Amino acid sequence: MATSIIPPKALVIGLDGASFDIVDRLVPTGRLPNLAALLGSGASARVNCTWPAHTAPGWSSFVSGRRPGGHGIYQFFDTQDRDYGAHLTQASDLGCSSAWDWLTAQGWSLGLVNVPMSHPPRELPGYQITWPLQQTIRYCRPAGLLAELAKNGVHFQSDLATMFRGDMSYLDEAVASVEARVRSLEYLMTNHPTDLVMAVLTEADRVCHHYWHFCDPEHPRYEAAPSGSGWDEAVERIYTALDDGVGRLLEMVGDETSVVVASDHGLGVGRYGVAVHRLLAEAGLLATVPTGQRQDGQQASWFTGEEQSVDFGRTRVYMPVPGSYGLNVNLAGRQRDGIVTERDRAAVLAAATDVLADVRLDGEPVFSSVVPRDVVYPGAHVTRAPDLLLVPRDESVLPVSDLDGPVWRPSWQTGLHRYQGMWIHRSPRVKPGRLAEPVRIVDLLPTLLTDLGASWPDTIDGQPVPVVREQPARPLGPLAEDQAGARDGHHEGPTEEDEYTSQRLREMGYL
Amino acid sequence: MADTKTRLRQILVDSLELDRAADDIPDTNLVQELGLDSINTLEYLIWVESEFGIQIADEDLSVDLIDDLNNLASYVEAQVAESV
Repeated sequence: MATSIIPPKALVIGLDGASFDIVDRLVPTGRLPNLAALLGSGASARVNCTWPAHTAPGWSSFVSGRRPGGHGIYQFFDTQDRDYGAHLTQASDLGCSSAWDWLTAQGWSLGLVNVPMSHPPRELPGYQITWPLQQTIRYCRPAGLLAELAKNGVHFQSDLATMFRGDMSYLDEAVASVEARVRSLEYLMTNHPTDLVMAVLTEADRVCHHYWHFCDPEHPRYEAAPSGSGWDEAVERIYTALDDGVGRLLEMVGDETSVVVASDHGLGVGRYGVAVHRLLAEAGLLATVPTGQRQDGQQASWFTGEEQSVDFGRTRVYMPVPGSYGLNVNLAGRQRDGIVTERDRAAVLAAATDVLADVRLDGEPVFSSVVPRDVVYPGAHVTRAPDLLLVPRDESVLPVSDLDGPVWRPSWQTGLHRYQGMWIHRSPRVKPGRLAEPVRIVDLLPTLLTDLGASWPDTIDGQPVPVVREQPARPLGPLAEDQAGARDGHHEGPTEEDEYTSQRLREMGYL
Repeated sequence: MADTKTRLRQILVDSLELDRAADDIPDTNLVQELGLDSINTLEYLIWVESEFGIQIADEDLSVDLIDDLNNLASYVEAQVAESV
């Protein structure tokens, strides 16, 4: 540890999309020495994340200790937008308190960097560099911190600016981005010490999405990497870069600092996209109109294909947002052009369930279940969820919202999300070793807070994983919800689709 | 205006670590001339904000703003005047 810095009490390193499927394969090769050391000295487990396995609900559940029904974040966009629009979800949409509120109430200072769904920045003790999903230079508090970083040669690029854009030279940029971000963090931890530091590195997710088919000879679209490109080792390269970054951050702290490494979902092979809107159209549940003849009001870009567009005035069921694994009934009185009455709602839901439950690939159902939101998303914010959730049996298939072309098509991303992520927790107070059973993503912060002797409100879903030695029943007793900073999740974000954002997400394969 | 453009040229050199003299930077066509993209542009504008003590609103971020030093200098001067 560098002697001149005040180390944080806790360091949380988020590795978006990281998976033990990859880490456990690479550790024995010696390519991940720092993660290997953490695994040797910390508790670890696979993590059951969220349905859908997605960055937005995943990190929101991590920071709030609540399942999606408890915080109301289901996707990058509002999945119950009345006008079928593309309303970005933002930090203010989190419908509950989070660990940042709880720790602030207990006198902690926070350094939060690149945590998804954290934009715009809030007034918190310490500093925050957010994760904006819009083009902005207002992603930091205090306001002058970005300029300070830039002038010290450690500028922190926003994630949106550095996303994959279809250019396969991205791999080198991703490796460089990890290194640059860690340099920013080293500067921040040295010059702006806080009690807790949490930073999320997103590059493993991006690389695994787009290079998987070069690295996996078993991939149905396996492609030999161009000579000298290094793409055949893209996954190994980005994990090695992340491991190096983890090692450098560990050098900034001592053994007394609690260290958590966690992901919001895993990643695995991606094979197919199944065009849910095409299936719904074939079943008579969704109607389209030639795109040139569409006369409805404004709607999100993904409802307009090159040839066909959704005709909401004649549609009973639709997928509100690509990648949401959700379906909505087009309910009269709730949606702008809703045509399904409350009386017919259950029958329409049943019809849609039958259509999706019957989707098969290689003779096997693609979805293990099609579940009403009341069942899968219990909580105060269930009404912001899609009406039905498609739970994949085969996670190599992504339900997409395309309106043109065949029902089945190769998935644009050759690596797709997985439900299980990873977790490592090192602390002098934590028993090391890999747990046999997965833990829940909502349990990870309560476990850290138990380790740190901090508290949280009774109202969350998470419970500490029993790995902390001499674990008190609750270190300080529960926080009252008003102490914890209860929030209602009101929407403050942009109300019109931002083409810059949509284009970036389209290039990433999210739209 | 000339003084503002001189300062903006120097900020371009410093923020993007350009290997060329500030005086050699032309007034126009900067995106192509300097290889400006969404990544380094934001860093440049963060420097501009800091050097001039202004705030550039999200809705003002555009290629036009950064492609032409005359546009950016006018914008900066208007923001500085507003903040006085």
